Order: sequence, then C-alpha cells, then structure tokens
Amino acid sequence: MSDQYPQRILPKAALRRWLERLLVSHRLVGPVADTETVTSYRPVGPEPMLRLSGPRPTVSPKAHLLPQTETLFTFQGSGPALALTAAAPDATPTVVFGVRPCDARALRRLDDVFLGRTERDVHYENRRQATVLVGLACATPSWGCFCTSVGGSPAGTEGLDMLLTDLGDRYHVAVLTPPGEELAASAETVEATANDAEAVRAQHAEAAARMPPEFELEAALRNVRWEAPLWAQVAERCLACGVCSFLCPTCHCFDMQDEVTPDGGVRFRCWDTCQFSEFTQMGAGHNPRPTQTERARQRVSHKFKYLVEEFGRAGCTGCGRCVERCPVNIDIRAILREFAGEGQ
Amino acid sequence: MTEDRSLYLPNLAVIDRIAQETWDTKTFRAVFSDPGLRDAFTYHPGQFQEVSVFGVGEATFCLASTPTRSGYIEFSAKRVGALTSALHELSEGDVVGIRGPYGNWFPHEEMRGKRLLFVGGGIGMAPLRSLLNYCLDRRSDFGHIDIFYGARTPGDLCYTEEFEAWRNAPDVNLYLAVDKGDERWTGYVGVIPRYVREVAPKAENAVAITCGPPVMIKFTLPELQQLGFTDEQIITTLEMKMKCGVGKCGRCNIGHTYVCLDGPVFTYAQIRRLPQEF
Repeated sequence: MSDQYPQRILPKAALRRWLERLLVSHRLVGPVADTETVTSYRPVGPEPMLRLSGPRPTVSPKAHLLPQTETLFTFQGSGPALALTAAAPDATPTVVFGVRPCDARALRRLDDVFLGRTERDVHYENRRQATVLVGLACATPSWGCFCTSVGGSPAGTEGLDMLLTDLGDRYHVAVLTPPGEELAASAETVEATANDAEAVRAQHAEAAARMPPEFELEAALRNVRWEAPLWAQVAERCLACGVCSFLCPTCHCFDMQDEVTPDGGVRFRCWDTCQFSEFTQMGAGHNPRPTQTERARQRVSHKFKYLVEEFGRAGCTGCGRCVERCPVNIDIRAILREFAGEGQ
Repeated sequence: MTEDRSLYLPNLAVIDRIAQETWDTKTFRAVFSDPGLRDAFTYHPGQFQEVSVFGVGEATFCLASTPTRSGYIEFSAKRVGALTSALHELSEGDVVGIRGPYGNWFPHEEMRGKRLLFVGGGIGMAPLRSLLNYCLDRRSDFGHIDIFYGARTPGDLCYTEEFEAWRNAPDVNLYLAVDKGDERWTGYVGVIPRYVREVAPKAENAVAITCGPPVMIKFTLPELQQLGFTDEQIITTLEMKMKCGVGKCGRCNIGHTYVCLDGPVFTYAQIRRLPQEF
C-alpha cells in the first residue's frame, strides 16, 4: 500500500453521495447486475445501483477502453467526390468504479500494445488518458481465479488510481495516484485508524490465502514451447467459440471492416480472436495456422511466451474468466501446471 | 500529418492507370489526392501499404513501384478474394485509400557494389520489381544483375512491358521461364530452380532476392546453397494476413516476430530461426 497518501475511511452511507458528485464531472462506469449471476461494467446514471460485493464481475471493463466495436472513420460520397471523416476523439472524463486488481493490471498489458510497440493508437489513448480507475479489492475470489499464480494479488494496486477495501459498514480508501487523489477529494472520508489498517491487512491476506498459487510461474514460462503434445490435446476439445478471448481482459486482437450506409459507410474495428480459423486465412486461401492445434498454441504462447519476450511480463492476469466460461472446460491453469511440472 | 492522427485513417489516392498484367492480375498506379503528400510520400523497396476500397475493406499490398520514380505509387493485385475483386472492378479515376509505407525493406544500402540475383515467381515478382527498378535507376551503385522470372504459362508473366527495358539495361541478364509454353513461346520451358542451376550465377559478393510461390522457394534454396550462397546472402519477403500494419491487431505474428514490424523482409538465416508457421 502506498504511503504517499493518507489512508482514509469512507462510510458506506456516504458512497452514494460521492458517486453522484463524480457523475457531475465524469461518465461513471461500474459493475451492474445484468442478471442474478451476470455482472458487467456499464455506464450508470443518477442513483447508481452498483453490484460491489461478490467475486469479480462476469465481464471485465476492457470494453470501456477498447470497445467491442468502434468507428474509426466514416466515408461519404463516391467516385472522385469521396471524402473521409475521422471519428471524433472519445476523451470524456470517465471513472471506472469497482475495478478488480486483475482487470487493472490487464489494462497495463493493453497499454503495452496500444501505447507502446512503435506508434500510439489515439483511439485507445484518448479514452485511457481520460479514465480514472477506482479499484475494489477482491474479498471473495471466484473458483476460477488465479491472480496469485501470475504475479498478482486480490488487493494488487498495479494500474489503479485508488483501491477500496470493503470493511462491512465502510470502505477503506487507499489513494495511489494524483488523479485518484483528486477524485477522493470529493468523498466524505475520515482518517483511517490503526484498527482499520489492521482489518485491511487481514482481509487482503485472507483473500490471497484462498488462492494459493496453482503453478510456479517461472517454470511455466520457461517450459511453454512450440513442440508440445498438449496443443493438440487442447485443440481436440476446443469448439473455437472464442469466449476465452472475448472475456479476456488482455486479449486485444481486432479486425477492421466496412459497413455501407445509404450515403457512404463506416470503417469500424471489432474484437477478433486467434481462435477463429479466418483470423489468419489469406485471400488466396493459404492459412499459416490451419488447425485448432496451431490456434491453441498461439493463444497460450502469446500470453505466456511472446509477450514475455517482448515486454517482460505475461499477458494474463489470472482473472479466470476463460476457465469459468469455457463450454468444454479447457482450463488454462491446468495447461500451465503441466508445463510448470515438466522436468521436475 | 498531425500527431493525433488515427493510425487507421487512410490517405485518399486516385487510381490514374490500370494495367492488365495477366488474366487475373492488374497493376494499379495511384496518385495521392493531397499534392503535398504526393511529393512527400517516400518509401523503400520491400515495404508494404494497406489499400482501402471504401465499402469493401482494406488489404495489404507490397509497393511494386520504386521511390526513384516519384509522384505515384504502384501495386499489383491478383484477383483472389473480396477486396481484390473489388479492386479489379475499379476504373481509372476512382478513389482508394492508402496507409503506409509500413515494415522493413530490402537492405539496398548493404547491396551496393554487389552482384544481385533476382528470383521471382508469378505475382511474387511485385516486390522484386520495386527493388529491381530501384537498382536500374541507380545502376552504377550495383554490380551485375541476373533476373530469373518464372510463371506457369507465358500469359501468367507480369510486367511484360518492362522486359525490354530490363533486358537492355547495362550488365543485366533476364532469364524468363514458364512451366508450360505456347506456340509463340521461344524461351525456356521448365521450373525456375532448374534454370538457376543451369545458368549457375556466382555467389561471390552476391545477394539473392527471392519471392514467389512456396514451392518455388523451397526448391530454389538448395540450388542457391549449391552455388555457394549462404543463408545470410538469401533475402525474401514473407506474406502474412495483416489488418493494421502497425503491430496492434495481432494477427501477423510468427512466434514473437511481427511480420508487419520486424518484416516483411527477412534473410533466410532469420527465417530459419523463426518457428515454421507461415
């Protein structure tokens, strides 16, 4: 926990007033109950009803930084009169509230790709710079969660501007960055006591203890390799539905397509996945990844080998959504456990 | 170009000339609509661009023209899918979008003073044509040039209008080959690897630049090695499915190598170190 800022306490009774103040100056995005069992991050209006208890939401807040579909530009007219109009930058000041530590870390991985690796992607950058992330420590990890196996923690602060910890009738508020400090200024907080700090430590430790590491990360990273019989075994079960990618907070691959309208059209980008056969299929028919075996290898190796080689950190933050939502129970933890166990 | 310009926003260009190369391949000459860009746009042989047909989409094409001839760019497209079919439907005067240039290029600086061996097959001649015409425009910078160019039939050879210029350039030999001739074909009939073996170009102080169907490259490599070419002396350009061209969309990687950023030009020594997935 950062010592740079004093730790504060926000009584739960004051939460609603804080959120409503934030709404005056920001678009507020938070976890909303879609159904009894499905929670996703959505923009909320006055009287926000946020689902802040329980395990991390079903869907990550990725779409608010990298929308599932997004217009890049529009075109009007045809022939020599054709003209392009760039999409207006989306830089609305936004607070994403109740971000879980795994999802905040995941945004740092998206930063690597969209803000680093040569040129910046301004569509992503505009939203990213206008977004403040208010974190919420995970008290009750879900059954597929494994952040502790990939260098994270249910109370990790990487990528967050602020971290809240639910202490029953109050939130402990740890400010982490200047934008976080600015947001916290409008909350009716009091100074945290030594007892509060102790309660926070205990809760964080308890949550982490419920998720003992599933595998030794260093060993898994060392052993993930091109020629492994495991890829074919995974591929045999895989339905190529892509749900792992679409729920993954770090998957960022996209497609770009045109849609025609009566007076022109739009070029949009949309999420895509290496699990689809068309992903690498070339116009003349050749496909360098012809079967699901190559695609299984690509997804796991991209996260646990190629990104590590490129940026020095794995492209997985252990949110476990792919584990829980795979219709055929492919469990990336088991894959990594197998690699980690080799040669021991 | 402002700093905050979208990476994905193309520049408009007018197609001012369309050449029917073969029954299924056309070469498009495009002139940027923005006069400033027309003069400022420069590139290296071997780089690629993203071409938009608005309403259909965008696809990757290597630059087939040379930066030594400015004011326009050219690319060749074989009609294979939705985007190339739409391109083939265009008329002179139509507008396309162009993003680029992207990727690395043939190391023409390092090729100075060396003998050059071009080995192209079919539409694979397009990127080689960029480098070849570049070298011919700066003829004194380079040594002897051998050009091997093969196609299935005489009707499948591209850039036939330029053969005379290539053949007549100083210290250049043009070796054309077809798998199957016709009544008018008087040239070589047979596959490129065998032709290369028969002519036996020297490897000493030479660079071989090859692009074409995988089967041609597969059988040409051993011939080049037999002639003494090392893996570092053989250069090729890889084709992968691309969308963004700038390392974001995540589909052209071979292992951790992004073909759009680290390629498309590789030496055969580099290719040997890549996972074999292309």
